[in-house]
Amino acid sequence: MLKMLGAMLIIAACTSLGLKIVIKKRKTLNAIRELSGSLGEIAHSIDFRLDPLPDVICRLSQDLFSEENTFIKQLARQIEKRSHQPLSLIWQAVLSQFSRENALPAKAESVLSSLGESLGKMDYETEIDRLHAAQNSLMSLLEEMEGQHEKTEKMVKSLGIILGIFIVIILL
Amino acid sequence: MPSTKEIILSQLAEPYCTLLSRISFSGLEEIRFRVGRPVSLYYYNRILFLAESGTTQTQKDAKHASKNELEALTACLCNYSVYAYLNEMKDGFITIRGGHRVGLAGKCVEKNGQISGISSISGINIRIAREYKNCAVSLIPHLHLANSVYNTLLLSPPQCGKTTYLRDITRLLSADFKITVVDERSEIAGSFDGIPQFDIGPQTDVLDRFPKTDGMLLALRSLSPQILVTDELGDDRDADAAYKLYGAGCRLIATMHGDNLNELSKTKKSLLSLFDIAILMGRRDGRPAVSSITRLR
Repeated sequence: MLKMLGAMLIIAACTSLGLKIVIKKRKTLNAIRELSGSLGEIAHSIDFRLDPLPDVICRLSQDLFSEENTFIKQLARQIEKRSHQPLSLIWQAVLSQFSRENALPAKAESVLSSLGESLGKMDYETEIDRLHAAQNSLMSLLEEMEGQHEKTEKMVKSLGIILGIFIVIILL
Repeated sequence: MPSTKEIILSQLAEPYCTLLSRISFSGLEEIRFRVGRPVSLYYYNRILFLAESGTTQTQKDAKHASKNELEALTACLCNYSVYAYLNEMKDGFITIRGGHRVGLAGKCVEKNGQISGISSISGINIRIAREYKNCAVSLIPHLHLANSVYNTLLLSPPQCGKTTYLRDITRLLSADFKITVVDERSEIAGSFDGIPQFDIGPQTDVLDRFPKTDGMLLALRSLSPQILVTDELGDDRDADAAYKLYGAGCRLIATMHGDNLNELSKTKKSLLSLFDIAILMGRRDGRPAVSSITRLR
């Protein structure tokens, strides 16, 4: 009986490990999707109203109905808290935390980091162009990662179960 | 309500936010930052320099501004959004919260033969705008004409309070008349983000950053003002627009640069002929004051 219970526990643990990997990957994909959408929204707001960036970011963060701790929400909070610090500095700090929390790939982080360096320092056309370019880079990265994710999702889940069974067999 | 000092400090980058928090803003008219030179504080009756511990009278103890500090200061004053201020920067200044004007010195950026901005900022001048409510109360009886007002010109050299008086005249007359302010350089109403930062009266509309002539004609078509107020009339196009206003029964109160009427009657005859009275401004004990009021017709 105890052996049976132990075997079931090992299989459940390995399965949940597989699921955890899949969920983490999904979280990364959702974060990239959210970031890409936010960049589009920022570009749209600048294009339409020529509002200053801190205002645009704060307004967008209020417009988001999601309860999730999105990049824009985190950024808006920090802008409010650290009003005497340069926006680029705040952007980098929020980005590195967001990247850690959501396991952003290095490519996405580098796109956003270089955008943050120049954001707000250019004329209107350049500003919009850069936002769209960063958005496009994230979109193509997202497509690429989604393709890979579809292929590997089932495999990772199955591998979790198989690993559990394998460990049980060895132990028995 | 935050004080002038608090409003200005909230828009400055470090280290100036901290350093300027140690000085008195009473009587302060300008704060000037120049790369490699001491930060100067222009009070209405003296000039001091910014120091680590407050102010100093000697240049060697003064805080000298660096290029990086000026860049950071410009970015902060532009709310980290240069694109939103480029139109203003073309004119050499931006208006910040509180209606204060920030003049910029640097390298001209040209596009298709026209100034498109300023780069390599080498100097920043924060002109502290102040409201002197009721400073123009004594002028109001001179402006009134039955149920209307005289077409009035305020004349003075720079920094003698033309705009301050014009703002107060607008506020006082706004109790009785519908007024439109064509504020080409956001100086009269000190609009920030489209909202006047100064009290300009209950019946005043502001056309912020509209070119003067276009704004005057637009106001006439859409806002039906009884009085139109504008700053710094300069050329014959302004005179033509003003005649159109008169044709519609609208009155004009405006300012012009100059230090005497005789000189102006030679160089700007057509503009001067627009007005019924001229108020000459000057400085008394370092403060703006009315020098004379002249009936022109």
